[in-house]
Amino acid sequence: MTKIVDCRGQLCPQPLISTKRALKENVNGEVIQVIIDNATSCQNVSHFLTDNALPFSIDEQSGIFTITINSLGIEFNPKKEAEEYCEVSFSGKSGSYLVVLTSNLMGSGNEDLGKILMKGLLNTLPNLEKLPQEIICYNSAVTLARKGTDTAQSLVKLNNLGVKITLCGTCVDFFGIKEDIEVGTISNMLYIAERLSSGIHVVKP
Amino acid sequence: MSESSDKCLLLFQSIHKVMQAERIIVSLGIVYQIVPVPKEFSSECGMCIEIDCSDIEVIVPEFQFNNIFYNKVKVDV
Repeated sequence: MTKIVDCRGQLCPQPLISTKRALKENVNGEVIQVIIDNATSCQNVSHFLTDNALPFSIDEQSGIFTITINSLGIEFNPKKEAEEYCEVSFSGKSGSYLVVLTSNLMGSGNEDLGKILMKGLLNTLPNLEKLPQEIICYNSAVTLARKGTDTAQSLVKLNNLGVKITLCGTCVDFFGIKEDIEVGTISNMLYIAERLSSGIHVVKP
Repeated sequence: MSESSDKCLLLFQSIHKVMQAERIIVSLGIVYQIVPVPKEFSSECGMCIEIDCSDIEVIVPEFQFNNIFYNKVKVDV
């Protein structure tokens, strides 16, 4: 049996609140379908589900998004309030771009030089007139967020300035550092691919 | 602001010296940051090291021993 949560006509955070309520009430592990008619709310709900490790798929037809959630056997313990996933429009110092870090080094060639350049970059970004909306880290770049590293402190500083830090979950798993992350939201390929293909300006240093 | 929390920039002759200095600072367990050289000191791409000014006296003997020369600039807050 499928439970339908119809959020058409609703703006954030209402779809998030409705989704969270449906998940909490779903003691029998039914499949839940959330119907949303705007891309931003769909993205925010996706982010919320990803952070809570709930498997889902998205089907889009003529601007109507159907998010199908199969939470059977998965414990739902939200770490943050659903409303916190409601992305607000970026303003002030936030620019309309995101930064993708694909390695713990900046550039290729000499490893020691690459490391020091990356540290310099992370400590320079906060001084830019326009901050990135988000920094997405994958492959060895996720190690930059490890506890006790100076790069993690730089990322914390950026995070405190409103820059979202996203870490590739597969990569965090590969390097075995899940329990050792200082900053950042662990996400998946679907989210990363969506962000990279969303039309936003992507900067790869 | 107390003297101990004042920040100083250490500027070096080359990136090789920055890297050598960083290794020494790490071995001494001193908190530091790699930051770009401020535009007023150089228009070229360069990195320098920011530390608490109070840590300099610990570093100086190690730098002297390793023939690392630097310029110190106090950061205006």
